[in-house]
Amino acid sequence: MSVFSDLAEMGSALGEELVGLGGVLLAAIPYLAGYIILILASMMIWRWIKSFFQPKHDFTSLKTVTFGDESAVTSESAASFISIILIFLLWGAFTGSKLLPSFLHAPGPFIGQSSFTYTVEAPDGATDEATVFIGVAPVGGQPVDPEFELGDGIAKNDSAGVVAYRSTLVPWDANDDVTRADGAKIVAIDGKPVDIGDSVRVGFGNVTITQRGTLNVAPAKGWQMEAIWLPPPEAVWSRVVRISQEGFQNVTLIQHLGFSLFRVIVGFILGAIVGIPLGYAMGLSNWFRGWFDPIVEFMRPVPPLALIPLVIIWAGIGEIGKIILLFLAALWIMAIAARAGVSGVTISKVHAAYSLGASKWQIMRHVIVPNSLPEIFTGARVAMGVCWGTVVAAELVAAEEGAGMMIMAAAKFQNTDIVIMGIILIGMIGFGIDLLMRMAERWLVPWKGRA
Amino acid sequence: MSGLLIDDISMRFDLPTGGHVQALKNVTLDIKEGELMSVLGPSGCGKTTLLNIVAGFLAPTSGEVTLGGKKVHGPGPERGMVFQQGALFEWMNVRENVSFGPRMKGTAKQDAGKVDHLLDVVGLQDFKEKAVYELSGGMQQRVALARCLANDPDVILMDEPLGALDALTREKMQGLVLKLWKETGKTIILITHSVEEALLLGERLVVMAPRPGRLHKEYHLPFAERGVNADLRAVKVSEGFNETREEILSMIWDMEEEIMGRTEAAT
Repeated sequence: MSVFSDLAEMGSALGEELVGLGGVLLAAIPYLAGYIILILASMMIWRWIKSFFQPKHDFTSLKTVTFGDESAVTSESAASFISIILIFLLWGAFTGSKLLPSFLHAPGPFIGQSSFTYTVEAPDGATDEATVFIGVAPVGGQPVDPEFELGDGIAKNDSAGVVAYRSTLVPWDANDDVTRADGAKIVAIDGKPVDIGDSVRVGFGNVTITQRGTLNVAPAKGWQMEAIWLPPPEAVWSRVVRISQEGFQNVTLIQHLGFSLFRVIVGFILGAIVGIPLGYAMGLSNWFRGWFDPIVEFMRPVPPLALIPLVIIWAGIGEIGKIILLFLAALWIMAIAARAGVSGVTISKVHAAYSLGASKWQIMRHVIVPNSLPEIFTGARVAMGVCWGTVVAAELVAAEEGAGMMIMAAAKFQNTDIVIMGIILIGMIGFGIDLLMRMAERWLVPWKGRA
Repeated sequence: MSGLLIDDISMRFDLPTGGHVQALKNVTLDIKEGELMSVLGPSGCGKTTLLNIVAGFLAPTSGEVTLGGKKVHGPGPERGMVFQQGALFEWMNVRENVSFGPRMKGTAKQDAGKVDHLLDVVGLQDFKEKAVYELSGGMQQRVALARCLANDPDVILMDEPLGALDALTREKMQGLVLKLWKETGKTIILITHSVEEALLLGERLVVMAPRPGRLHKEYHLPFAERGVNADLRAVKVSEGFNETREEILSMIWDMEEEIMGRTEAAT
């Protein structure tokens, strides 16, 4: 019974979460639609531009059926180009990047001076209006209270300085003849009647009456992201330059990345050294297949990340622990790839080799091993990808150096630029690894997929 | 060297679902040295099983195969195999494929000239450095033939070697098989399910019947002799060809219909 009530509880909690998530998704729909419209519009524009060029006369261009013809669909490099440019354009536009002309910027936060009026009602029913002058300084600047004159009446003018993206409290009654303690309260802002807790949109932002009756002034944040959430591209780039010169936490950038790569390569090589023979044994012997099948099939679906705690308990957070983890990440993948490579050998190839007088060892050397290489390469590509992901995650948990440690440490100080730099570098290295593996594959197993 | 004797072979195996299959029953064949024998039969008559037993890939449940008086226990280089397709090694080029046998024996150097000569005979001299997956199906089968011959086997076993080729290439290859047979004097057993091919490429033709797989009828035919270095189309219209083909075709049709009837009755 308690299982059901637990489930019901979880269900209702999940339900609330889902409602919230649904709201976010709904709010995102216009933006997604806009993005898709951008994709389609750029496609139309590009097609229109292309119509002025000399049309291509290769075989594919003569096909009339392209929708559903897999061979007619290739990656349009113009689309890739525009897509990447657009990412940087959007990034720059919403961070106020200096690389972009300012007319491309999304509206930024309000900077400068402005004012609003508030109306005070004294306990005796008398009312008076006063002005609050607000000075908004740019991020990194000092807030300065604008100069002002007190004015007349029971309510005197006020002023406050604030930094963009922040808000400030204005104790409006500090210099007034009647104060909140006397029972005075604000009844209108910019002429609009208000009550406790109400928020009013004024020319430069929002003004809210707090529960205690003071004014909370929040200048408009605009559409741009604050640098602590998302720094502009040039800030990230200058951070790359600075960190590559100065290092991060006494370790150079190359060392951080090098440590991660070193762990991956050592872990992967160890995994391959053990995994490939294991896979061969499983592919060639009933007994070995039976012996290791349950172990491999059980370990394969266990995400390597789930092993991190155990590895830390057993081997600590040093180099050994990480290499053990990556070894385990690569091991099962390589074993399964090698097993599949051996099982995939056409029996007629083996028969032919025997009929040509090959010994068992020669069959192994000249038929089974080369025949399994394409599968092993596919496995190696997967394993390298998994290892790279695992090493970063392992470094997030605990490390003295490494790409994952770098972004985790930076995140603790809200150094978003370092985090983004790290993510970009991690992505580029992962992509580079895959590219190298593919090149090696083309060079070493040119017959792959062509049997 | 001497003849190949298939002595009272039977093959019967249990099925995992219970019951058993009698793949071959009391098959006896005495094949003389240099004989070209084709084996024909409807699917399921055990002709491939028979070939695999001769090659040594399968063990018969009773009877034995002897080559030159020596009992066959497993695969060996004295019995070469040519498969339908997919038996070439993609990781080797044409020449490496053809020289595979000599290289395994460690006689690659001595046999280099022979390999070159064979590449010439099958018309692949200009392709010897090519990867095998770059060749057409017909060329690949030429490589397979040359690879088998490079090992100098006493008997060549062909398991539908031309089955995957288009009609025109197939006819050319049939001519090549006849030429190689005459030039090398090898004993050849060829399995096919093309009646025409069986007639053209068998001075001796064995028709097998299914369930249980057994010898049904045997012919001694003049067409292979006629076809050596001659126009195969002329052979196909020569005396007796059509009549024999019709006779065998109707025989096989009868068997197929009998199988169908039995299967339907069983279900």
